[in-house]
Amino acid sequence: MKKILFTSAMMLLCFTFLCGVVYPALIWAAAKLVFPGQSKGSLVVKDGVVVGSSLLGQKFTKPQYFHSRPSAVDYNASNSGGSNLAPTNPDLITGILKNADAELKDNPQQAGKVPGDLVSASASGLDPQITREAAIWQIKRVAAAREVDEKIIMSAVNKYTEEPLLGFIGPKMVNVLELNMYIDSITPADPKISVTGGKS
Amino acid sequence: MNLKIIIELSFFFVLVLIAARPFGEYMYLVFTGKKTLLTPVFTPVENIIYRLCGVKKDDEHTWIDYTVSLMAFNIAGLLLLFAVIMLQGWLPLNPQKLGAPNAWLAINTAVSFVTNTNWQAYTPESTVSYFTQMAGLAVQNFLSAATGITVAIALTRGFTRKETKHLGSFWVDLTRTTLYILLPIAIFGAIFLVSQGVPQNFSPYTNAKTVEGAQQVIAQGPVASQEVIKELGTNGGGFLNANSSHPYENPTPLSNIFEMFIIVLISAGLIFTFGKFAGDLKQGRALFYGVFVTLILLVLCAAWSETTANPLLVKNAGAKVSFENGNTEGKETRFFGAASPLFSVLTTVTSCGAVNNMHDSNMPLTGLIELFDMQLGELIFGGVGTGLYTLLLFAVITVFIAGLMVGRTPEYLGKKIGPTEIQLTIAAAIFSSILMLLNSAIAVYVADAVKSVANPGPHGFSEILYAATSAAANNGSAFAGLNANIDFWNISLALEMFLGRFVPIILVLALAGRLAVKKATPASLGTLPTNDALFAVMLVMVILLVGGLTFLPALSMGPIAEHMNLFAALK
Repeated sequence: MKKILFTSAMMLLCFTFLCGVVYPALIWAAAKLVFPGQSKGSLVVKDGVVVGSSLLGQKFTKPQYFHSRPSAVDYNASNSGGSNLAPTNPDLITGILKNADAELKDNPQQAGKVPGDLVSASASGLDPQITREAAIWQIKRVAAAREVDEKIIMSAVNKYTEEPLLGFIGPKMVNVLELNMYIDSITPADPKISVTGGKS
Repeated sequence: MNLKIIIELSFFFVLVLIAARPFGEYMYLVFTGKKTLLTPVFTPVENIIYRLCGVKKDDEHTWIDYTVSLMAFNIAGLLLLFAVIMLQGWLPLNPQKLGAPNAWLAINTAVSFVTNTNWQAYTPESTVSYFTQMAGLAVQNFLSAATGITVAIALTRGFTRKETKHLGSFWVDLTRTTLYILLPIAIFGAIFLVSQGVPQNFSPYTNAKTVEGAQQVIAQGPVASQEVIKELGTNGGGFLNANSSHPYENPTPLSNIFEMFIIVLISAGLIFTFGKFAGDLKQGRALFYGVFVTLILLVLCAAWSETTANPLLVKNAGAKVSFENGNTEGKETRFFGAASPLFSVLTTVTSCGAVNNMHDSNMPLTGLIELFDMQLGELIFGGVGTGLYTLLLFAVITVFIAGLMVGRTPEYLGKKIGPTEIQLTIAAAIFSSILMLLNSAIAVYVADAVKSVANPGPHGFSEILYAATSAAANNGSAFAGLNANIDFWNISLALEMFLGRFVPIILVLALAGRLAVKKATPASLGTLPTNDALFAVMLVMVILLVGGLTFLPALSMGPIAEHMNLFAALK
């Protein structure tokens, strides 16, 4: 019995060292060397300031930006999660109706129905993407707020549309942060205070 | 449900079909000590471990020694993990300065990871340090997976060896599983996941200033190294709260395919490893196709249920909202389509429990499938090792029932199944079911437990049933609206996890010991063949019958009632 206890303890120490120290350190070193950007969390830096991560959604409220999906954790990236509302929970129905009414009010220029992903909360609360339909739904609003031609915004959406993997895995979708930063680089976010006169 | 979804599902199933057999044959080489590609790389490491730990490579254990070693090793692991969690405030790699959690929570968490459950009553981002995750939780992700596999191999030896007391060495099986099966795939997989965007760093949380000027604090850590073993070892405990739905754990549709693939890889392969041990690959093939076809049917149901719009929402909001992506609440955009329901079924038929979408927000029928997957005993591929041994238990029950029908002593692989063997088999197969139902029944009488429920109506009961099921099945997924961090759940679920793990393991090892000493009877004209399609069909029928009879009453109070309510509300 004494021998079994000794072997147990030693095995545990050996594997804690191997799987708990050597292995993660090895992956850390390899990742740093081969994929330095990804290993740090795909952070996006603008003018020396970290504005977020290209993998994580963030909250956009202004009309001149494309909006992300509703988040149960308000895009808190140190506490992820979904709403966990059941499909039969009355709160789910009222929540979705409230979100739908807000979308319709924010996008009076748009005819038709609100795409479902724009009114339902994601699983992580940090969904970086919206479907292409949800992006198209917002184009008129963004163009109007920026006082630019819709075609410019449309071509930005086209540029940032990710196709399904192998043509059949996943929907057509758009990374909201990347799209917003791109349109910021081609048109001023707020045309009234623009000094460079980027109207087109 | 459209053609795109069918193609997506077929693509995945073909991947599994291609990989299972060769990988199973590789594992056979590992457990029989034969030479493989990795032998030159890992043999020196293996020998050093044996020398340090005082293990002789050729020592073989009786079932009692095997069991004692396994239990001693797991209890030592439990104590060490509990200590690491409680002492994390004094340990390194803790940039967020996280202190010791509530002791019941720490016990629950330690039991959870040692038993391969990975039930998480805590929010990782604000509870556990990088050191705890990497040198505590992730180590048990390796070792609990390896423990499960050793038991399956011991039972396989029990069936295939003749007139011996020896089942192999627990220490050698444990070491070989970790070195030759888990670590190589983990190393390759972790680097692949980093390429997709999964972080691997030890930095403090990042303070970002968003485009609109708000503050966003971004959790970091050595995610990739833990992510891959979480799926490969069917553990399922997320580095981050949202688990595999978090973009840092599962950033792309491709990383998602990879994660789903490694959830089933070992368990699917082990069935063929069993066939190799039996000296007749067809023995493995019959078991494999039996569960594989069942899996496909379950996935098709779940995929249909989740990609169809929630009719209650269509009725109330259909005039304003279009729901062409189905039930999108609790799902990530990049996993719309088959990716979410497929992951949900895979994670519950195995003992993984990782989630890439929130099961609590799934349609009632999907929730029913998830619950039933776990209640069947997690043998449709199942957890690593646990899946194979549970499947073999049901194979024994099947030959027993068939034997009753024709009035012959049942035998499996030439081993006669006597009264003691069948008692051990039945006890091991249904023990966890008793825990699940018992704790659900207790919970509905406990005020705190009822208060911890998040959703009204039958769904609230489903949350309780899901927690009690997930713990005893060592799955670890949840209807996560339930507030599990209360004393009642922390204590009762820890008990369920511990008993649900180790009681069946001890019974299975006892069965293995009894089988190994028997001699093999040569097959005669009256022997029921166990390597053909007929046996596979019978096996599946028995599995569904036992699971269905045990759980139908409980399920009708939860997901089935919710489904009925949903359609009643449409009128």
